[in-house]
Amino acid sequence: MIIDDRQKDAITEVINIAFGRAADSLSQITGQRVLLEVPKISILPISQLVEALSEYVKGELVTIHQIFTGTVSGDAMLLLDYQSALELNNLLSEETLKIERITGSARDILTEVGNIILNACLGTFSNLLHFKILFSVPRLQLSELDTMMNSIVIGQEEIRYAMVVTAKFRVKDNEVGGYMIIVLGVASLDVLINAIDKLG
Amino acid sequence: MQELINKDLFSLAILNWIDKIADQGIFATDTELIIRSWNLWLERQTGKLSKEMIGKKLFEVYPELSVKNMSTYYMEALKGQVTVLSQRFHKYLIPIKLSKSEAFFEHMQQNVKIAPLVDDDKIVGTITVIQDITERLLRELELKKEKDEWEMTFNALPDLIAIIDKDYRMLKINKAMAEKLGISQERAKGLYCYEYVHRNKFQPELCPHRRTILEGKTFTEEIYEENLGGYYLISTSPIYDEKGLIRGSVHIAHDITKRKLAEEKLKESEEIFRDFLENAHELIQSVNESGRFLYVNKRWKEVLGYTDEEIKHLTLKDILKPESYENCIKKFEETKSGKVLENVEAIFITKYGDEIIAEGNISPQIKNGKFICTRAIFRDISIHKRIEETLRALSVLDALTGLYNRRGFAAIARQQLELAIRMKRNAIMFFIDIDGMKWINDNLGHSEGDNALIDTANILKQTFRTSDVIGRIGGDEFVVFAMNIGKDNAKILFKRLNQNVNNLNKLKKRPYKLSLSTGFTDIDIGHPPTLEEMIRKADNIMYEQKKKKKIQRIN
Repeated sequence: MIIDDRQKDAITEVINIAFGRAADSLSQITGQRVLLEVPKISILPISQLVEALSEYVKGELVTIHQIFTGTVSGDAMLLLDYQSALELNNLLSEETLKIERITGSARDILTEVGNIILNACLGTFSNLLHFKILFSVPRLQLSELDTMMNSIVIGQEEIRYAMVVTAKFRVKDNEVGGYMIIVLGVASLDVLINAIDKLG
Repeated sequence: MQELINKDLFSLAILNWIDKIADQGIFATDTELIIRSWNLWLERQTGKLSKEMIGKKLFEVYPELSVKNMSTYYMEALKGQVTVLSQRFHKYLIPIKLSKSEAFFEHMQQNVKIAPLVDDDKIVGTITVIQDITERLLRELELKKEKDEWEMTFNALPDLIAIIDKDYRMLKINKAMAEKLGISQERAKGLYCYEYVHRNKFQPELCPHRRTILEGKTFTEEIYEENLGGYYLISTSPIYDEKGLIRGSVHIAHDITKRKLAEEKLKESEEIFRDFLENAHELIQSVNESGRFLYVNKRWKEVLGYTDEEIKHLTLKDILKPESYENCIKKFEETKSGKVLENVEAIFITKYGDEIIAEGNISPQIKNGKFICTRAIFRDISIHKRIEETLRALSVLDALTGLYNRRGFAAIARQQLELAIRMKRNAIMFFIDIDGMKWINDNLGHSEGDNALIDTANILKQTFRTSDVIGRIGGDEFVVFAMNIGKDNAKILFKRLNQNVNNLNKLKKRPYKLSLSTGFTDIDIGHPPTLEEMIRKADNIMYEQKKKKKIQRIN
């Protein structure tokens, strides 16, 4: 599957706005300025996903998935390494003593935070492109990267290719950093590219 | 069921099913947010029956939902979005009061999911799932309390404590350690201990942490760490993860700088002391109860010629001359009762058979009333002894009585005798012997014997003229050579002698009566005798008198 530079720019722009809103949400929750890098977009065979993502994250991960279906379907993820997840949780707790393991309560907090960010991102995305998207309940997963990737389900489609959008964010003055990733199936990609072409 | 809720978007089809069996609160509304379903769990918890609830507007039944701005989420749900509300931020959605007696929380604490209700790809309302997490929170609070207490203890300890992972990264350090390193506990997290604490590029070879990781055991090590400003006793114990694998180790560093410095000082003074002992010119030894050597100094080894290995097999008996042994052992035994003995003379035999005459002090070491060893410092007086002997040989006076000894007497008296013969003058040789000297020595001791000798010498000095030559030529044998007197005068002198003896005995200063046997001879001018002949003759006459005395006593 090939997309030209113009299409790529257009997708980047849409994603940029969506992620921008998500970063805004995160900044509201944490009360800190959130720095966002320009999203990178790549289209990859699904088998190369692990390799591509392992460039960004290592070790044990905390992932909040939100599967969406509708005009386009896919899996939107907020990816945090373990330490960042702890930091983010501690940032949001009023407790003076910090936790060192992800407890039940920490999972709840991270799920809600993930939900807010991903809703902000996907909501903007669907508004801009006039898509109708339905969301599933977000779920938090604690695992190594490859285990996590194996669990990605994208609608009922057989996925051969996926568009991976990564955007690194950092919460200023803190060690919290992570990635937002949207994985789209082939069919959804077609729809997306068509929609973007129409925009242009 | 949770999986089912997560996996599929909600649909009316599963709603009826969920309604009956759910262990969570589930209710559904239509697009107007009018309640369309209210499950059993909610009936039980709220006391509100579904037949009362169905048909009512959610925000009218629970006006506090508007206050909490929940309508936004319901609007989002009607647009297709799912909202997750965690207890941390929102506490609860549907207010359910908990009974006061058991309640830490006033209301049931809830995690909530608000999602669109979809039928045939069309959003027909919302569905809300409520999970009661009150008990879980209480458990977490309990755990947290325990953790806080543990953390407080961890931070209150004065020892430096660090939890270090397998890659030598500090996972956690306590307050004391953070203060020592001059960083915050937070900042220390993830730093390599060998880099940050020890200022090394690599982990040290002998690091107990490494051994703990490899062997899974506790190790302790005393180290000096400049960066921490002193000496530390470090112990590392393994910590395990949930799977039972070694995750790292916990380091406890106890500051032993004070003790170490004191020890060093002690060692220094010990070294000075040992050096002093080792290099002393005296022979220094300590001997245990069975006569084995616990310590001997360098000089001792030099003089006696034994090596360290040989000394291990030696006892006191091996190095003492047999004649000296008994006396020494007696002294040695005496010290066991705590007595300190001075000027003890001993004759040592070196490895090569040479005799070493030594004199010194012996003192016992007694600890808690128990004898440990005797310590002895001996001076090698062999040379002194030899000089003493030479001097004694050259001496003309008897040390005890101050009279001439045999040698002195012979020299002076011989000269006088020759003079007398040349001048053809008479002279007399007296021989005096103390009666019962052996008895005195045996029964009253040698010091009383010495007294008898001194008394006799004094009496002789009193009795004879200053020009007469008086000598002690044997144990209790005295001789006097007097010039210019004849036999008659000699008898007068004997009378005076007996008088002086009687006077002394009258004073009763001694536990015995002094008694002297005497004999004398003069010079036959026709056949001038030698000095030795005169002494022998006088001795014989004295002997005759002594015999007579004995016979008289027997009779």
